[in-house]
Amino acid sequence: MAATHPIPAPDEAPDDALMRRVAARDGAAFRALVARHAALPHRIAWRMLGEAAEAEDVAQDALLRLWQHAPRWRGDGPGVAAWLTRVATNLCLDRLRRRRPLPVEDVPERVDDAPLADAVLEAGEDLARVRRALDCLSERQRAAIVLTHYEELPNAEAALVLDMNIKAFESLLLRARRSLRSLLLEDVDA
Amino acid sequence: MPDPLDPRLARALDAFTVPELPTDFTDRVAARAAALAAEPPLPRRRVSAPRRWWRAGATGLATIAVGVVSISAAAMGYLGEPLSHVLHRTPVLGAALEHVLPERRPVHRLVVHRPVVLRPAPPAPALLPGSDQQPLADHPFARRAFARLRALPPEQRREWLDAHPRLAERLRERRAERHAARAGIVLPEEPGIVSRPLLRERLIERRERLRERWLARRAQGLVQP
Repeated sequence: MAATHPIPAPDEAPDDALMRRVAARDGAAFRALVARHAALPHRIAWRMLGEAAEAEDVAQDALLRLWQHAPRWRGDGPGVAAWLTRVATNLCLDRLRRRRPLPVEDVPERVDDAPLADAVLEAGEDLARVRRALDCLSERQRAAIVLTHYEELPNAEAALVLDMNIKAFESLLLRARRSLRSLLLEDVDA
Repeated sequence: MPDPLDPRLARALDAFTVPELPTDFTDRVAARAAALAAEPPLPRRRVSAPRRWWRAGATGLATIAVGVVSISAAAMGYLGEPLSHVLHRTPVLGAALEHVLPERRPVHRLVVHRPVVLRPAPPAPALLPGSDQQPLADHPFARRAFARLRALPPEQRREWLDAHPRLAERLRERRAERHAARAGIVLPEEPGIVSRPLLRERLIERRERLRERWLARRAQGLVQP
């Protein structure tokens, strides 16, 4: 008598199992993965780019790449979260490098129910100061701060995401922190 | 390992909060993914039959052209004499080539050398070894001897000079020449001959000149007695 293996619900299945189902083009499994991990690329993109529309674009782009990459997914890899972190960070770095004003006709007509960036900035002077300070950093320094402080990645993993060796990454992080300290704390001390 | 983050800096950074994703975000991404899956794959690029024949013909013509040019170059010897030799020795190809490009065979030419004119050697300096006129310092033996002498310890050098009085004299002359040159005294240009009395006289003159100048300066109070 053949044993029956109940298929776990998408919300409870581990990432690798979901990825196998996504490789077979299972929409429900992909929806579960999106619900589970969408906040991660969105957070990274929001803090690196500082704009709601762009952050959503990056998050969506990263998740669609996950869908396209699913047939080549290897279960012994670093995992979905690490993969999305790497892809989202690289997408943000690309956008920061070729940043230009968005033409008016390219703005989506859908009403964005997220709070406006200006409203968010005006919500607190501290937040505005942090935004301005992060804008003063280089792209890679900003990514180093976002990955280590906000996403709480160990230095070695953050260095892997940025394709750097650990010594170079620590030097980058040190410079980023020094810049932030001078931008955020020295005004207060003065 | 960099220093841990300053707690005040960490608190300041924590003020940068992120808003929630829109509620329909998951639906939108799932819809885009479904649309991607529904898109038919791009058709393979097809090449029309006439174009295929044209491409094959062009390739064949190019190959033949390159072959003809290569064989011609080899037969002309541009790719080296041995290859040309082999081509001309090939049974059928060699006979055909011989009509079009005859093999260039080496021509043995009589080389006439110009008669060598022997010029008379320049006259040697009429200096006899051992005479006072011989420029000892220019003599190779003397140069080697001076070099060896400089390398000797002082006692052996003194013994050697006692045993070779002419060279010792020449050495003293050379030293005097150097001193004269350093003092700015111009000696008459007589190679190999240094007049020691003349040199001594010039040195005494110079010393007197310097002394007079010093006395004059002292009389003016420019120098301390």
